[in-house]
Amino acid sequence: MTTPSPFNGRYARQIAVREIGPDGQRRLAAASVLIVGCGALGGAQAELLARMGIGRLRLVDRDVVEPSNLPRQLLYDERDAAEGTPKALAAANRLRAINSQLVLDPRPGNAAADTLEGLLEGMDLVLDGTDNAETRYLLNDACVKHGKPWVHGGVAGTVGIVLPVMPGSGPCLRCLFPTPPPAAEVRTGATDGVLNTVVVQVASQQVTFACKILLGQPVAGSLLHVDAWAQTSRLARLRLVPDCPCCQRRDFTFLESAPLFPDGTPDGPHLHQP
Amino acid sequence: MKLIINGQPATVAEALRLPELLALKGLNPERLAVELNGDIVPKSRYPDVVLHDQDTLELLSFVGGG
Repeated sequence: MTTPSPFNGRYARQIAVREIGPDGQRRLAAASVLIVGCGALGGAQAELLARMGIGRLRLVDRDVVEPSNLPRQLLYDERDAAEGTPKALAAANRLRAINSQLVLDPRPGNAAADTLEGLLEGMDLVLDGTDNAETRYLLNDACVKHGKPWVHGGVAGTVGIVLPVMPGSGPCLRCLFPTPPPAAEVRTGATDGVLNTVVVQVASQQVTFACKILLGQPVAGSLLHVDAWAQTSRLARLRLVPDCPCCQRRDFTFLESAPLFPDGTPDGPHLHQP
Repeated sequence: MKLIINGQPATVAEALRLPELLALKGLNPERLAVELNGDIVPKSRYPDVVLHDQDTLELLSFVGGG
């Protein structure tokens, strides 16, 4: 008689992947991941992690589902849009149907300077599903300060970028872009639209980096940039900047000088208006 | 000499420096990350970087949507 698998065969094809294996599957099942922003990127990340057998997901989003989200936000349907369901709750409902073993912690509301550090508590890793520069610089500060790995991702038009940040052993967002660009200069879905295939490509690479981090694989110093339409992707090397204000001088100016961005920037209705 | 910039061939003067290339293209170095032959160039090194024939550059800006 063989020993029964702890996962009832559900994850057999994933355990069979040499890079995962039974030990990797156990590590995924024991891991807690915070997803900040449950729009296009965050929703795709959440579905991949839920199907992969991650242990626990904390989902933060301040928006409600709208019809204009449906072309690229995979977790939501027409009923969610008609009812204007908060994304964190609509996401949790869908994810619960996908994987009843998954522990879900939906948090409708803002990831801001006064809430982000609390949201990090108990989490092993953070995924960037945000849609603005401000929250990403806050995330970078908070994650570097608390030594939490996070995986930055961004999309606009047909292009995307992915940067895993390993505090203490590799470069951070400010080693790449020392200061946030003015909102008027940033390419977003609002300025360039978004092709849904680049969303899935970027989210998929963010989740792959997340898996590697949770399984103890080296990722620090990788920078991936893709163009879904040109069908190109490049992996570049990024070194940490010796005088980086965030990861080297530990000046967490975005987190600790709040509120620098009292109004937020993304379009659409929010649960918590200033 | 010939460079590849964001996947496209470009012909520029010999021994061009990186800040000169960015100025020619009207780009603000503060808003860019520059990948040269697979490595992101630290901003403090921009003035020292002399470009060579067949160098491959990717000029990357912050991507904000999600």
